[in-house]
Amino acid sequence: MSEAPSLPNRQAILVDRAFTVLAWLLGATGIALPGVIIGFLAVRGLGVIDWAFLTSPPGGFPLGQAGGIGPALQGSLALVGIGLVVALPLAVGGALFLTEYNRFPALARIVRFATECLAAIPSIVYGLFGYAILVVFMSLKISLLAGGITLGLVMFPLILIGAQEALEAVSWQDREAALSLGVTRAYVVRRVVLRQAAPGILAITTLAAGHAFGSAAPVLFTASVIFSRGGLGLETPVMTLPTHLYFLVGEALSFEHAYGTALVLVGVLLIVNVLVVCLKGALRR
Amino acid sequence: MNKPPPTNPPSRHADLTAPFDRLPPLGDQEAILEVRGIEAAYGGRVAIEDIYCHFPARTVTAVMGPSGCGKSTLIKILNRTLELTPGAKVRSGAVYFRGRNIYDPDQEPMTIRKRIGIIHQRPIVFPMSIQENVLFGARFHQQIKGVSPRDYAEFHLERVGLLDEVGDRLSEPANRLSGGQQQRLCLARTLANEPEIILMDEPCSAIDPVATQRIEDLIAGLKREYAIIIVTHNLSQARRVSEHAVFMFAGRIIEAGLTKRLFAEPRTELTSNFISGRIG
Repeated sequence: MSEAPSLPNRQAILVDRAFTVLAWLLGATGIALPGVIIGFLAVRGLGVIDWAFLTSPPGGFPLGQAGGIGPALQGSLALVGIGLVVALPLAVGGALFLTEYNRFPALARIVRFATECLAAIPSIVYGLFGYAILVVFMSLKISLLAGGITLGLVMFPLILIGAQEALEAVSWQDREAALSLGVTRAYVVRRVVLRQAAPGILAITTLAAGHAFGSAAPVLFTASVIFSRGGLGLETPVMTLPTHLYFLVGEALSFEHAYGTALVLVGVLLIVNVLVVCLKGALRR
Repeated sequence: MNKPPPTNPPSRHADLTAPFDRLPPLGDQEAILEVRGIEAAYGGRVAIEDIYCHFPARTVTAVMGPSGCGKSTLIKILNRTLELTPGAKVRSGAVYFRGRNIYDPDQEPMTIRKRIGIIHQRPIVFPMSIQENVLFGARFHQQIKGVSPRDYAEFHLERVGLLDEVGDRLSEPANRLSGGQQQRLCLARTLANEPEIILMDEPCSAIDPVATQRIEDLIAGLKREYAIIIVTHNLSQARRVSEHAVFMFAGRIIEAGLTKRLFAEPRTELTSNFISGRIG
């Protein structure tokens, strides 16, 4: 006698449904969280943002109650720019050495471990290090250069780890096929490996730059001042968006301006991220 | 015959002065590549040993054998691409190309790889345009002289029958091509290097039967100019495309000679079992 077809396992179906609901809930939270934060900042801060706010120096008495954030925006962008000039070649070069040229797996593991430790160091420690070594010991003073190098140190381990992963994701067969044509390793790295890894390196660089752009601690003692009229020089200090925000909130100067500043900070990061997504798409094509 | 006679057991460290009579007869054809006593290992594991064979010019030679018998290892030894595999090493022996051992310390591996091209199992196109893929090696070797890069690329695409299919989109990324087209592009890229020998490591194993047919047609045309050495585990392909054949088993050459003879009158039981499909 043939058995009746067995019923689907009711418990398994219930677990599956519960899992689906949970996954949807967590996914929705992930989408909602940044939306809520940006929405909140927009509601509170959009009112103060106009061209003058974006370009003029802070004003009023106490300072910061009026005027804008021009010098801070300028200073933050310059700091990240200098940081990238320092960090990007070092980190990508290091990652290239580890993936393409290093013949000792143990060395790669040690460097990787050390880099991960560096990435985990709180940013205030970088600020302190930058102050002690760059500002005091190397006499760079509190300046755009000292702050930029400190931000470079913050970005370096993140970019190295990400670049190493992006380079390792390029298949070994691609390298073999290219080298089989009798060309040098440097030619293969330049024309095949780096091109394949470029979207990944770009993604991690953006993430690191975003992290540096929004960090107050590394530049607090190395580059930033409360007020500047704008204008940039490597040896002069600058205003930055995160430290300006810190002063506005810390001294309870103007919450309206603080929300406006925060919105600009987040807005710049959003714009850069969108541009990078477009660029990554173009690179992949 | 490659199997040494019982009185002369195969040495693990093959002797470079081994007598010529261990090589299969060539007839009146000139040997362009000659392998003498090669032994190669991955890490500590010996993959092939006691390999003696030679490959005639302007002829297709098939290297056959079951999976893991060392066919791909042998073919990569012929143009010094085995050493690109981490841990892989040619331990002893010599490969003579036009009378010179390519493993001599004064031989530059890059030059060998340019002169002896290889097509891999899976078509691998680089992240650049179709034209730049064709010119990848040629640009490096400064091969493009007196013609425009576009004309140079078109000439080699024409040789593999791709120009009609892609002639109007040379600047498009190569990864938009089908698998079979990509494999022909890889062949064009190798031809653009102006090699003297073409090695093919199971070039049809990742493409469909129609694309396979096109590759086989190309092989038939190219053998008028080049020595072609093709690794295949597909017996009917070996029969269709090759005049000479080498049969390998467990890292050694068991039998070599004219393909027709090898299939009609195999001289060892292993070969007979392989061609009848009992092993492999």
